[in-house]
Amino acid sequence: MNEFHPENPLIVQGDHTVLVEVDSPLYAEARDALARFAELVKSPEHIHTYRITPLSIWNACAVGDTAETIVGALRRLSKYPLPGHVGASVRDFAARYGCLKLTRRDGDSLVLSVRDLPLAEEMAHQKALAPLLRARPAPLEFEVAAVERGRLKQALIKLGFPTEDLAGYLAGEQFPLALHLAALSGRPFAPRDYQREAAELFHAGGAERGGSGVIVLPCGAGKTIVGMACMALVRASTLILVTSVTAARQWKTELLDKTTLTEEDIGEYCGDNKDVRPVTLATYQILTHRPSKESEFTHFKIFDQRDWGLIIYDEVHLLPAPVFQITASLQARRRLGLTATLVREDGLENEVFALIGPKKYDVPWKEMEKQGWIAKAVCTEIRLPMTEERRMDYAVAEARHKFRIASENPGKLRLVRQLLDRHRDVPVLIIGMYVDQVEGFAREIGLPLLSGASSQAKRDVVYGQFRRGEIRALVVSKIANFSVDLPDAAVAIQVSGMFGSRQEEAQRLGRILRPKPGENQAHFYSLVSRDTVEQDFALNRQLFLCEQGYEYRIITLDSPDESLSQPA
Amino acid sequence: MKFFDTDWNCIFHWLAVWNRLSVAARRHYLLAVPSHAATVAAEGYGGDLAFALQSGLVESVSTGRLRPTQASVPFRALMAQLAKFPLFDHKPTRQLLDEYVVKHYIREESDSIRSSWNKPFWNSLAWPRSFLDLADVRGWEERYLTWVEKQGRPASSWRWSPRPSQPPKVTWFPSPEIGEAAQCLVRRAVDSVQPVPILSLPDALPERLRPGLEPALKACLRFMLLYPALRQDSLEAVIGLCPAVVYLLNRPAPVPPAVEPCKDLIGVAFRLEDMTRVLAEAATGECRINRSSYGQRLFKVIEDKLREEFVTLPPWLEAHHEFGSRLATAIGCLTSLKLAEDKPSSTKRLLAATAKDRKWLAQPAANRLAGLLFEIRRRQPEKIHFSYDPLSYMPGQFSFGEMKKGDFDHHAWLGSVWRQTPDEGCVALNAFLDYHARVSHPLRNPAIPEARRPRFASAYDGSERALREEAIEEICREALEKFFWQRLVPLGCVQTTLREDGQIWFRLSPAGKYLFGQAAELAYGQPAADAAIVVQPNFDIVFLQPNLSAEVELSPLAEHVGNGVGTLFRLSRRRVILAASQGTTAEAALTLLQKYSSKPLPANVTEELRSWFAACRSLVMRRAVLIDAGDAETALRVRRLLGPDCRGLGSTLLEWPGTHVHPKLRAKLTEQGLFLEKSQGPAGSELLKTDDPTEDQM
Repeated sequence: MNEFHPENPLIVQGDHTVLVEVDSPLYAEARDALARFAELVKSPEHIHTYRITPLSIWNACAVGDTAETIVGALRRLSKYPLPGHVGASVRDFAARYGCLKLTRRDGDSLVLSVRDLPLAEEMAHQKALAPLLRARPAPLEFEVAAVERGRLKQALIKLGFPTEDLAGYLAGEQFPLALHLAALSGRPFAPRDYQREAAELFHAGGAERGGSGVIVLPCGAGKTIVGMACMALVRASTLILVTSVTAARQWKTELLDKTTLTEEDIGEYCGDNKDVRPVTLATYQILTHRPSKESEFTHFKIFDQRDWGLIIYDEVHLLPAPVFQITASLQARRRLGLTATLVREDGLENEVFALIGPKKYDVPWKEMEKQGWIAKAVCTEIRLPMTEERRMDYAVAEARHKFRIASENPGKLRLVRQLLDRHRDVPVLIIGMYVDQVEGFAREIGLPLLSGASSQAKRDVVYGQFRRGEIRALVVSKIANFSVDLPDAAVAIQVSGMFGSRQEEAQRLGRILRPKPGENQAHFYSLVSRDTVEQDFALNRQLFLCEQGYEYRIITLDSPDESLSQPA
Repeated sequence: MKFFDTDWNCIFHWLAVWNRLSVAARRHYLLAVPSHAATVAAEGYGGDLAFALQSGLVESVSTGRLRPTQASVPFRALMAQLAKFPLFDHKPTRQLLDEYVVKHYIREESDSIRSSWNKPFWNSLAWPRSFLDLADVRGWEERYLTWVEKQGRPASSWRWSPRPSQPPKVTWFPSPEIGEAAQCLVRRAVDSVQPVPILSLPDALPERLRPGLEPALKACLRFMLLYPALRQDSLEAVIGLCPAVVYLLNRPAPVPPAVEPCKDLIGVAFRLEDMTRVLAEAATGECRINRSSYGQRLFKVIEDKLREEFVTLPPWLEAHHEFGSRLATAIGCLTSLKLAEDKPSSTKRLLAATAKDRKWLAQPAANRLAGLLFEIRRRQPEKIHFSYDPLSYMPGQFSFGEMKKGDFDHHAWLGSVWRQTPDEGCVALNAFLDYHARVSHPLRNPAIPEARRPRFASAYDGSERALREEAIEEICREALEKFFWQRLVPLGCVQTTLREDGQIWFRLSPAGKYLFGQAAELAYGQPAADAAIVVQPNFDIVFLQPNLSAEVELSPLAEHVGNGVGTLFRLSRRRVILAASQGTTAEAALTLLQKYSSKPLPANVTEELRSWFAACRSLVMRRAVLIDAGDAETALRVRRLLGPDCRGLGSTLLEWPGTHVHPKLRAKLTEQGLFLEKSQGPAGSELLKTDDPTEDQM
């Protein structure tokens, strides 16, 4: 290590991760350079982590970068000489870009063109590709059925070869829609810069290299607006897949408020309604419904009921496996994925990228917070001990029951009361995983409760009351994890969570991140029983948010009766 | 066919014919010699065709082609053999000489000959000289044949003394004249140094000895005093001393190696780096040694980890320093310097860092390297190196180490050689070694006062025998080469590169100059940065700059997840608990982290660490006797009688400290009707174990 440049912000590691020192004077330059060819993985306080992957290199090549410019940027900004193989890897990844192109021939078939004969032979001998390649009309060409487009790209990515998909998209049924210049309420409306930028990156001016991808924005950053902006650019009929009926209603409200769409233009394909209209909202649940395990998914036909020009996957990280499969055959349609947390505990993020499209846009949460687009959040974990009696129950319980015993610590009720008292002037959400627990809270404190058992009508009513300020605090089960539009919830108190789910933690924080008037401040409390497995799981849950730059304050209470003595 | 079984009179006749042929004709003749049936085209003889036919060397066959005549059969056979052994045209290889010996001697003798090439025998000038020096040629022959016979017998562990010599069954010197003639032939070869034409041999003998030419020549061939061959260019039949001797006597004068500039030189002191990595691993407290291994083989998972962490060497260095030997040497150096120790216990065996290691690691890299070089410099050569010392100055046995007189300083000798590397530019390693093996070897090195030169070089078994002079250069070269690869290269004392011609070029580095006293100070590596790390809220510890001390001190607290710089550690509960078990406290851990951190520690990390430490509990184990009184009243009575040392664990259960109740106390209880009896408790209970010598006293 003879060449050391302390002022440079990057450390490139042998596993292709790149650490960026935020406090370096060259940080901004490094960040802008990395954004072109690396993926942001973590952004805690002082050191951000990016990763160079084949996909990130290919995306860079797609917009004109070369291996030399990438390696040159790394060298120029790195504190230390690059590990030898990193440069070679970048060149290798970049060299594979453009080796394979997918174009459309006449009718229903596509052609996979290969750059050279050895590679063509390698493709011809790959077992995974054999069922997907129909014929070989020329030494460097393979015929592919259009329906296999997605599976082919998936298989090729697994083999380490990106495919430049130039087969284009079906235009879909033309449906002109535009964004309003003012919301129906009269307030002026315009997408924020980053929302417009995200939509334009997705659309890419209508070119073949655009039209498919995932946009990752923090909760509260307005992914719905981004979706609408994309719809306005594509100007075709759109199928929007959402996580729940509530989310569908939320989308509908926004569409009516901010676009030129009317009630007649928007259909709901969920619950009791099965309307298919130029813009249709369907839930993942209805799509994956089938009478029995052996039956087919009867509602998949929705994909063929209209000539969709765009399919939007809201909360794409929750994409159920069957929808993956059908998405593989939808490659001719433009596809947009929206999410705040592309973290899947099953590790299938790559499937999302392969079938929906690569990550097109990503902004660190803290960046959005700095710019005021989302609320500043203070995260606090309060650790309270259990009573001795409960500790004995916990100690002798089987391992699989310990978590619940710890989570349902009755002492949490007292703390919730104290927190409600501390934040009496702002809307508060109390979220828990166990229905018995949240029912108990609602009953003891006298607050309304929404759970899975609550009807849609009741949910709509209660959400409306909460939004209007008629209800100051609300107790909800995990149904509120996603897509609940509670613009004025400023405090969330998490009394129990789903084991170590990082995604759930982030989504729950997201419930309170919409910008607030005044100080734009939100508070997130997580109550855990001290010295239990709940505390251990809580540590894991916090990891994602820590890696987004959030710091947890930890308050440890020494006795079950101790009160919160300092402002949280 | 063996040369010494040939009819040389016949050969001389045909050699006269051979001499008159052109080179082309000779070459053409040789095409047919492999087989009696082989024929060649007549045109190939060119202008010599008529002569070849007329002389009777060749004859026509029905096809018009030519073949050697029957009369020239011995000559043809000799030519076939000579064509196989081009002994004098290139530097003879050991393989060529071995093949020659195998061809011409029976197995027992050829085995003996080939096993003794390194002894002062046939492939040295001393051998023909010994033949010339002796008046009694027959006696010389007898001793040789006895030696061969002795060598050919299986060794007997019961009989160390040689068997009585037996007169040879057949003598090759049936008369003194033949012996004298043989000596003349040998003298001729010794005097001319270069091989002489075979046809000139008669001229080497006085008239009276010429009748004995043929048997004398055979004897010389039989006893490896003379060797025949065909010159490759002229195909002239020549004869001379052992090819190895001829080569050495005729080689050009040594030329100093050329000095040229080189680029892309590499000179990392990887021995130091390897030691450091192993020591860092030992400091974790989990560096386990395979208990069943004789040496210090680490667990495979640890070896694999170190394999990733060790400095990667370019191929030309890696060929000499594969991972296994690097690891073993690093461990050997650490234990030799008492920086690490082998700590066995009943359950495991650890390579553990000693208290010295932290001080050592806290030093800058240059100081550590200087210390290592100093340690090596001060080591004295040992008599016989049967055990491997990784810190010895001279690696392995130093064959010039056995002295009878004088006190040879091999440190000074090595230094005198390596200090001759140029200040600017590089030299080729092979050229350097070849040159100094000839001019600088200890028996001749002019830089060494004669009184201090070794008198001889010792053989492998430590016996003090003088080796032939030619072998001494090989030994010297080997010693220099071994020193280069096993000391200079791993200690970063040379910088090397591989050029396009496949040759390694090198020059001395600052560390090398320091080792040989050409520099008073040593510059190596980067100074350690004080505030080198950042602790992240997600428990990662990121090293922005390398800091070995930090790495070693933090390794007990955190999982090692990376190398070099970047994310090297991750704080984990498991490691913290392990550190707590070894006495580390929360405050000590936090102080340590803050010491190296360039930023304040994240609050959640601080809190979590405290929580992990706080969850640890120290438990005290002690031996005690449990007394089950059966009921509360009895328990009370017993407690009153036994006194305050008897503790109540429950209403009926009592604890008495120690391993037994004193007989007097038992008697006291018995007097009150309280009988202490041993429990028939569950199997494995401590109370029933019989290894307690005081058990009977209960």
